[in-house]
Amino acid sequence: MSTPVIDVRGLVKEFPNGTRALSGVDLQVTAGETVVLLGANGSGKSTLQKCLTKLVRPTSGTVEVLGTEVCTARKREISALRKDVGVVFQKINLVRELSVLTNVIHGSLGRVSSSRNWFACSARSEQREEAMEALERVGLAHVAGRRVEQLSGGQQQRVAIARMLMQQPRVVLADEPVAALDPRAGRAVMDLLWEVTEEQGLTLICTLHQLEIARDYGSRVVALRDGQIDMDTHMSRVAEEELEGLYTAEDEVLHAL
Amino acid sequence: MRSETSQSSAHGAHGYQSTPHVQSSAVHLPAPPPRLQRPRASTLVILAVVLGLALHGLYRMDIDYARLLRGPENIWDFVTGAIPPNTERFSTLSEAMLETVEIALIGTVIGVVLSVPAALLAAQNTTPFLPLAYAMRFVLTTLRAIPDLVWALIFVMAVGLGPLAGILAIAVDVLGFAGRFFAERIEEVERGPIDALRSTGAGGIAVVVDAVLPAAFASFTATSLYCVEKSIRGATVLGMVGAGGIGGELTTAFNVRQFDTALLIILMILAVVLLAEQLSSMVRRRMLGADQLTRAV
Repeated sequence: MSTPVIDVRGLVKEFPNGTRALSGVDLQVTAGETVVLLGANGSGKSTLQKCLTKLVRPTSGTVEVLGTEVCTARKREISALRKDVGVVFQKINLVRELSVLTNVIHGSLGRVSSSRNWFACSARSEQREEAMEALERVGLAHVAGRRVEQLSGGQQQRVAIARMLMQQPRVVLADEPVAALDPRAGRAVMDLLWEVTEEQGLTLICTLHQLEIARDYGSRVVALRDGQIDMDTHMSRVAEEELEGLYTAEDEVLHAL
Repeated sequence: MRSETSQSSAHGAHGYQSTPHVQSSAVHLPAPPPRLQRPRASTLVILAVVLGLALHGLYRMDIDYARLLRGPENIWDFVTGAIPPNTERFSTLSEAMLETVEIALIGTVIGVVLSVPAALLAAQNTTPFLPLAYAMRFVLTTLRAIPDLVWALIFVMAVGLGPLAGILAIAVDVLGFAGRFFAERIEEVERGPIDALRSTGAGGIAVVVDAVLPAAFASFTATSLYCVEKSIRGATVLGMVGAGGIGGELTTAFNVRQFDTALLIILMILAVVLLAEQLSSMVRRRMLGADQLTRAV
């Protein structure tokens, strides 16, 4: 077994308001592995993901990502790390007013420091071609010239995946990438995400809260509950009831209302 | 019926004795609040201060009411003297009007261009250093608080009589106004796309150019159009203090009691200001697009 690209030990995160989002999480992920993080709202899965690139500063414990010790790293090391970590957001987070191609080229901003790449019209031919390849990969090369706001939600998330590919990352963090999409568009995005990470041998950590999708795509499943790892196993070995159990706490709250 | 039962049960929940008969719950209703309430002390104080200032002013200024009575007569003189407007000097006045419009346009462009960096420094989410944002806000507020006519006086003193003083006055006025509104728009820009670009490792300037400015651009344009409108209105009077444009002609016309020429000037100002408003709302309509302007409620 190769050395893990992500090595989290005893991670605790307590927010200033006293909320304990994570209380002692251990997680090792090897290169090229795909991990589905499951858990109800507030179980700490987003916080865990944010700790990996220090968007949230861990309270205690160690987090090592791609050989960088996140808790003690300097600002420069953190920004170098972030260049290697691609992120796919629940809220897509494209710049809606700009063209699809410009948004994809934005993925290269950290990698190629050239102000020409700020806009598609002035970008270097090299990045324009790379961006077109990335768009072709997500099947949207034909809308490269359109403004992002003219696309459907599913198409926008695919553009975001193209932007992530453009970044040429080694690790991909996807935070509920299909929560805002209808089921069909959601499936298309999940298929694409799984395919591209496999093709490029990327390590993927994807948080999900839809059980059906998790069941269809998850290989290794890590479930969080109240800031702790509740189970860490292979999807085929998980019994239905166990998965349902992850959400019972929340369901009970709903029924009580 | 259904609503009545829910009403009575709601009363029950509030601790009133719940009864099986819907009608009897009315007996337990508390008295409605009185129709009139004693005004608060602070209201009375404010009222007293305002009234006191007004009365004190009338007493102190020692206003001669006979002059007020002569007013209508003088206005009648003006009206009879002004109609019909005198078009003799129309070409000279048109030139002065053109100068006014040009002062307004050039000043606005300079002001708007300076407003973008000023706003980026003043907005709390893009400023490189928080105290700098507060300092910038203060500067912008000062620029705005001093009226453009006063700026014109200052610049006439600084660079002499003529349109240059007018341009500078308009530029400073626009900077104070647009700088603030641009900064407020920048602070409203969605966090998500900014975070997304940051997470690719993009630098600060790239994030501003690629995520902040595109999102704010439409609002910047609308604000700038309003500034053009406002500047044209403002520039028409700058000439009164010698800062170029049609205002100088207006003062002269009044001083030599050429009311017919004065009326022409006033009509020209009216036409130009209305035209500017129409143009700017037309451009805004184009920009927003048909979709945004269809009736939504």
